[in-house]
Amino acid sequence: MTRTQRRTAELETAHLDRIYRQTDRLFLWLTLLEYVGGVIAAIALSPKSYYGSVGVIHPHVLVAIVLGAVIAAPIVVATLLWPGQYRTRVIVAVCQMLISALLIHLSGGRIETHFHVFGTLAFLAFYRDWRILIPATVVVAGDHMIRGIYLPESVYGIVTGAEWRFVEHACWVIFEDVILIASCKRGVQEIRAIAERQAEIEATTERVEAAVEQRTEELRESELQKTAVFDNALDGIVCTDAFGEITDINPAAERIFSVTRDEVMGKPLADLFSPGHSRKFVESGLNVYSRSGQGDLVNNSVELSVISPSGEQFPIEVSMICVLTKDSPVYTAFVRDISQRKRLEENLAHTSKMESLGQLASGVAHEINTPNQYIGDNVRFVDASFGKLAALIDEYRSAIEGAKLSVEKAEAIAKKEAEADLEFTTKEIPSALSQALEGVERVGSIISAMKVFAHPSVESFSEIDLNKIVESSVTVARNEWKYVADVTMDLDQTLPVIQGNRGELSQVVLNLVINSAQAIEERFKGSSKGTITITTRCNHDIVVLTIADNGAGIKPEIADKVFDPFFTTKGVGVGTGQGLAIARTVVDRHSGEIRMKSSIGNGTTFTIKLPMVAPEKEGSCKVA
Amino acid sequence: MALGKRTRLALRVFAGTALVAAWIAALAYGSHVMMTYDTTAGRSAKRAPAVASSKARAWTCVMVVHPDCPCTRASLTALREIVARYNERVEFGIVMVSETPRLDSPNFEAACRIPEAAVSWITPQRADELYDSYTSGQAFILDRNGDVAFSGGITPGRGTDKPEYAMQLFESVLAGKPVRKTSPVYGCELQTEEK
Repeated sequence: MTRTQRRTAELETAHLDRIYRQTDRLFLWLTLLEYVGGVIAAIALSPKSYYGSVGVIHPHVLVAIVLGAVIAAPIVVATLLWPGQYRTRVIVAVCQMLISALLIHLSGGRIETHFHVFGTLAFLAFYRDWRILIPATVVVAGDHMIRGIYLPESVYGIVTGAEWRFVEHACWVIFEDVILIASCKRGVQEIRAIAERQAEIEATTERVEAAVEQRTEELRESELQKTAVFDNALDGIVCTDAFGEITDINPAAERIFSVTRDEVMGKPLADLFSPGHSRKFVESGLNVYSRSGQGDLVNNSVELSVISPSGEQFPIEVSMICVLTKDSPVYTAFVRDISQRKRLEENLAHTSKMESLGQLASGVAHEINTPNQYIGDNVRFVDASFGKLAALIDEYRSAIEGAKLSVEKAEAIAKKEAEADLEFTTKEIPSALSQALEGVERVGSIISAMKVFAHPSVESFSEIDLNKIVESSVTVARNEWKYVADVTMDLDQTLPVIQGNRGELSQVVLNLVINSAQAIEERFKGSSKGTITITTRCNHDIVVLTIADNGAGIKPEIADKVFDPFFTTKGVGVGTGQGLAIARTVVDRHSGEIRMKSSIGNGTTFTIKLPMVAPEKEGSCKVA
Repeated sequence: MALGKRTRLALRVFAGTALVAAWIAALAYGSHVMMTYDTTAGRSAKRAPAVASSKARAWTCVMVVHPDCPCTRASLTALREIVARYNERVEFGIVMVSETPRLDSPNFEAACRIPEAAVSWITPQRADELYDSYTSGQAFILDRNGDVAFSGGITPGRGTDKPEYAMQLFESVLAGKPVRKTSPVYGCELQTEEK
């Protein structure tokens, strides 16, 4: 038996039991009504029997009260004690037929009273249990048969010829029984059909509920996943309604826009962006799209800007989509902070520019270096030869003074010496040659610097002590700063060794110290000394070198150019414009970074961060 | 001492059987009493009434009636049907028996609803003298000579109001067919005390 069949049987049984109990209650009240009605009818029709003028209670009244109670009592007891049981139905059927017999008798066998039998059988059919019609029929037939034989006038109203009349009455009862049995069976079939439908509905409902529950669980998991994605996305996500008012915002967007969810819920999306172009672009973009379904904002990726709480404006990339719901469109903006990317792009562009400049510088240096070399060689040759030539000229002049030359010849020589300004020339030529050599050497140093800038150092990295490099570089540059500044060094003695190029890093420190000294001189102009403060620190896995001065500072508008090659604010011959560019190139080559922070009139601080290599071999530094 | 399961079951069966038996006995006894009452006729008149028969019609029918007897109401119902059919040939009379005429009694009202029948009042003693009647519903059918053609009740049983029985009786009597001259009378006693 399948589960549905079992459930069908349960429902059918429950339905029939409900009908049995309801019909039991019906017969309880019907029996009480019949009993009371019978007594009232007996009292009304034949209240007394008379002996002359003396009246006594009529025997029919006593029969209605006593015999009626005897017949009705089992129905009352059974329906109250055993409701819904088969024996109760049998008792009801039998006693109801006896009530019919009593009423027929009390009515003197009136044919109309026989309808009580048929009415009662119809009521019994309410049970839908055709089996109880059998005892009811047997009781009716037996009563009619017995009374038809012994007291026919009490059941048929006639005195004779009624011995077999019960057969006719029984046949009519059986005729009704046939109809009622068919009705009962039809009723049970309908109940079974209802139970089957109910069981199928329940089974279907159960399956549907299980499917709904499973689907709900899947939706819940999906919702959780979406919520997790929404909450943990690295990109910001902002959802708006059709009017561009914010309906949801994820934590990443909160961080990008520096807002909280509660602050922006219901507010226009455009308010999140920088006033000006970005805000207007968003406002107009949404308006245009809502009207025409087109525009530059939606279904596009654009770069806009946002202002941080510190007032700094930074770029973001916004990709907005529109989703049509059943009522109206909703918008979702995916926001990404592209500050870092922008910086990388700028660095890439800068690197590209540097590469071009490096190639240019390399070519220029190569072209200049060769003539510069032979110019220098020739100047040195001339310089070295001129001393000998000067001595020879002195010898010649002494020889001429002692020789007997003609007056004309002597005057001509004197005239030539005067024209050549021999005294001055012989005196100044060494100086001129010396200055020429200095210029040649300066050109040579510029070419060397350009080569360093243009080409990676061929010198391999080795373990170096940054503190020693600082100390030696400061010593080398002493001539540059000793008249204008005092140098204070705060070096971390626990600083570990790092992997680096000693010469290049020395050059970096040297350039920065010289720059600081020049900035201090520019500010104080010899009126007083400034201060150059050099510190080294270890911060986790990097080594930090800071060189700060209280010099003139760098103007903000040129701050982003100071690391460009050949950019200088110094006078001609004072700077080559290569110092900071070389410093940046060297630091980059060491996978580090160099930052500059400056304030006009207050000084400049350069911070160099270099990665620490294998600190565990040299001992870990003390983290401040 | 606790009873065993089978003992308790046996006791229950016994008690149930006894209860059913007692119920059947009560039912049988009640039925017996009822049937005995319904089948026990009253005492019939033993002689002809001391009244003259009608000279205007061939037959005279007189019924002696207790004014309150409920069983006689069936006899009056049957008589009404008879009167409607044989009024031309029979002169009907209804004699109400009471110490004093009681015009609000149910049987007097029923008798009055038979306008062709003459209703009169007599005392029980006078009813005894004239009709030797003891039971309400006692009817007499006299011919023109005053001979009793029939004496007794005109209903087949107590309270049985089937008019066919009385109709068949009158048809036979009036047609001169052989008929039992007496029949049981089902009704209340007219006399308070036994004679």
